[in-house]
Amino acid sequence: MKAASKPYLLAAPLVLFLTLTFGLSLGYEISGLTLRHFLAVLWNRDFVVSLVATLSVAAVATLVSNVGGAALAFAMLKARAGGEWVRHILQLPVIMPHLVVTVVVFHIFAQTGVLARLAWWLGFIDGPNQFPLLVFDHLAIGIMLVYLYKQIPFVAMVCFDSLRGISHRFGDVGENLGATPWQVATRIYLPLLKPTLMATALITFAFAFGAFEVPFLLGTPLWRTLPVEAYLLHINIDPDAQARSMAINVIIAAISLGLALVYSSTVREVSHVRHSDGERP
Amino acid sequence: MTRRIIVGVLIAAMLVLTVGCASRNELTRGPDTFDAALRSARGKTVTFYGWGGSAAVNSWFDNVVAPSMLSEYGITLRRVPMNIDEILRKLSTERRANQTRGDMDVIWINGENFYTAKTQGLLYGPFNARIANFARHIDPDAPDTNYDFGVAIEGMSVPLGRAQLVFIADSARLDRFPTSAEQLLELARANPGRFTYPAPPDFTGSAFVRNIIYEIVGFEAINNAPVDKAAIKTVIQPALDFLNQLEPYLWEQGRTYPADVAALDRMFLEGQLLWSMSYTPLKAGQLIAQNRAPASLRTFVFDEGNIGNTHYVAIPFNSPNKDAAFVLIHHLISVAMQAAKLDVGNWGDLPVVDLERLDDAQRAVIAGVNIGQGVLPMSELLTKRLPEIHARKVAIIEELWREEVLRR
Amino acid sequence: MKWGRAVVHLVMWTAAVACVSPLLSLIVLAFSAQWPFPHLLPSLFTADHLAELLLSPRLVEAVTTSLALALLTTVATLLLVFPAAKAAGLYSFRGREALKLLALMPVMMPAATVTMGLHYFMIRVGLAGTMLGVVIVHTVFAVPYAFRILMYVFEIMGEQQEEQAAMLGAGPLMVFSAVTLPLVMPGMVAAATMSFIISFSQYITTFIIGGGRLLTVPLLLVPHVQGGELHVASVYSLVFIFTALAALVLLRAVVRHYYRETYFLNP
Repeated sequence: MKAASKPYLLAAPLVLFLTLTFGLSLGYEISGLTLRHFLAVLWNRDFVVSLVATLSVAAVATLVSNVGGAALAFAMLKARAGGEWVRHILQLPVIMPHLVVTVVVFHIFAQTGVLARLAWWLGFIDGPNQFPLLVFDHLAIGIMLVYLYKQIPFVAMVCFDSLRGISHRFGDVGENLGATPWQVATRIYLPLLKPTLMATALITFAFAFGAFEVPFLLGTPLWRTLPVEAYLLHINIDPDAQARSMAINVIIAAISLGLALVYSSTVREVSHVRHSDGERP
Repeated sequence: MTRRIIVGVLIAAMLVLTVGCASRNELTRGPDTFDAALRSARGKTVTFYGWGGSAAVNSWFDNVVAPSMLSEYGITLRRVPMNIDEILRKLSTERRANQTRGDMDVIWINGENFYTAKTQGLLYGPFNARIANFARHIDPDAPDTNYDFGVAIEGMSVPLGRAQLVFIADSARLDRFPTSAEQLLELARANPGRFTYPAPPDFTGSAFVRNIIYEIVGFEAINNAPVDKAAIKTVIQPALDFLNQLEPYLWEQGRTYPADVAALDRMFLEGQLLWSMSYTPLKAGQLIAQNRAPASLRTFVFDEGNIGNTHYVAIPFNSPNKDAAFVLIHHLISVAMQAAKLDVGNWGDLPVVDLERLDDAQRAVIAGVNIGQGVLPMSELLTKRLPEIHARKVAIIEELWREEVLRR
Repeated sequence: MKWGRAVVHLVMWTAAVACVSPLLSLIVLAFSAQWPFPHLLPSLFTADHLAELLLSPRLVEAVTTSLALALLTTVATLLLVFPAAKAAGLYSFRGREALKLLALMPVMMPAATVTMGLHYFMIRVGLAGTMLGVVIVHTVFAVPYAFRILMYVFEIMGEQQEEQAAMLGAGPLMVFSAVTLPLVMPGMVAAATMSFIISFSQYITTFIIGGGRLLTVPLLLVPHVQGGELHVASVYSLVFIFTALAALVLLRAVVRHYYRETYFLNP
């Protein structure tokens, strides 16, 4: 029937486009691989270090940005008018491209950066070498600062919008029953915010895991994140390096797919819209 | 009557198509002589593909080579920036797909990449005997005419320029320059945290490590070692030990190293470090000329010599304008172009022309080039120049450095 | 509690300062020439090298290419996403959840990884180094955002107005141009904005597929960051931000002008 097939026809171009691109991308990667290559990559110390490092950086960035972002959202809610104003300002970090933020983080946190100069003026250090290494360091502090600058505002904005949508009567009832503001926040609003936070956590993790530009520019020679490792092998035309690059990309894709599936199964989006005939779309 | 015309047209069309198809399946023939190349190339466009990451290099090609190609030979030069990996990948794919007319006429190449290109049949040649200036200006017996990173060239590429590892320091801040590994160790001890080097596989950092290896174990030892990781490790162990000995006195106690030579330069220019290094011999001159460093900057090398290497140009197998490629390469190794290339305001790259094969007027041109301040004269650089070892060994050394020095 | 309020205000101010100070430091960097350690302020302010950089032909080329790519990406994204978002937003059908998951995939899959695989394919079919190839890759990563925005708009909109217009005798084209389009216009603008910004900010995708042939503003910026040339990097960063904002403001102004006030409905 025409009506029944309509949504499929409408969605077809997009579905075809995405399926083709992902399919071709993965297909070409896998076709160049054999099990032997795969195992060789996995059994390599450098690879394991990269994998652990990439996951750790992503995990820490996700934790800090979600906790920080949620806390900021609560503060914004409390601040009422001030909070609205901050929400507008938060859009600036969200629009700023990662590359530009990298420039700034470098400018401020390098051993000859703004903070180091302040430290010198205050007499804490005698020279740039005494300032701790915050960019290009093996703890990826510089990299995480870039992520946080973009992700805390993102999480804060999403949580703030979500909190605003939750009726303040819940909080009022809590207060009437003698709850402290802290209890209202953690026992009442936080659980209601959980679905939103799960979504932001997954998105921020996926981004930090797969990011290329930031670790490429601010990383240490001691280890490389997986996407950077894959890229460095990709541009090397040695066929062995190419195969290793493909193997790493397949692993990255598998992990990302896993994340996507976790997202889709745990985050149930509730549509708040009903049409006139009472039917939800 | 009309029927015959139609048949005639059809036959003509088929002939044209078959001839057209046939010629599309054939690679363009290279010119038999240089004069033939000069004649047929006039009015054509020649494309040059190479790394475009250096403004100085690009400027020489765009502002010196291109206009003179047009005025002297009537050939238009089109420079396309592309990394060598992309270039080789492109050629490799085209070779497999049997694409007989490619886009690239001349490519800029050396080392490991030349080895790969040559063994995979991606290059046209041998051709360098058919380039007029090659016979005139290039020394046929020089090692770098015949070997590129230890790989036999066999006429498949022509040298374009020479680079050499040099060290740079500010004479106002450092009164004694380390001209040997031992002196470097001493100076680092006296000034902890003020010296370091870029981590291999950065090109310059890798050259520095090899330079230390030459100092400590000698060029012959590593040059004669087989292409085997364990064997090389045994040979270079004393050098690795030296680098580990040096570590605690380096920046960040050698726990980490700057990722590339750009980072090293930056730290040097901002006063964090007491020295820097570069593969561009005239780098100090360029920094002074650009006002990025004071006039007290000086260049120096180790007494035992510093590594130098040569970079080359080659012609891809499927170049569509091989005659124009011949003319471009001929022009690139002309005295005028080599002199302009040397100029500190352009590229600052050493010439490949053999001074002994030039006449007095040409020698004067080269001698009169402005090489800037704070640099070493070409004669000194050339006497303290050490050759490169085989490309495969370079990769092994880089791996060993990461395992034995970085990770410790 | 008094100090509770103080804490909240402190947090607000810290957030505001943290958000804005990067932009300020970029501006200071862009206008300074020499700023050696340990000075807190640049020792030499200049607008000279700013002028020099702004007039360089490479910057002009990069800005033009970036804008062209972003425009093409936006158009391609909207064309692909509009019908699919309509389907997901208005209809209930088997596979709706699968469609939403598929449209989300580019958010979860790293751009670098997907691009490297596509690179092999594009070399084979000759798309490597072409604008079309790069636009295709940019579109993949713009799709999820545009899709979510438009799907939401369609959900809110419902089919009522379209059905009524059809019942009153309007043909499908008329329904589309006079009813559908004006209603979704705010969503289209938002989706177009996101697509534009995403394409404009791409680095690794343009670099791998473009193979050095296509010069965009991010590609111009990165070597200067790697080289630690902060003054140049900050000038290019400001150009980046400025161009993106200018293009977006222009887009919104054009749309607003064309559709006037009457057609803008706030969801």
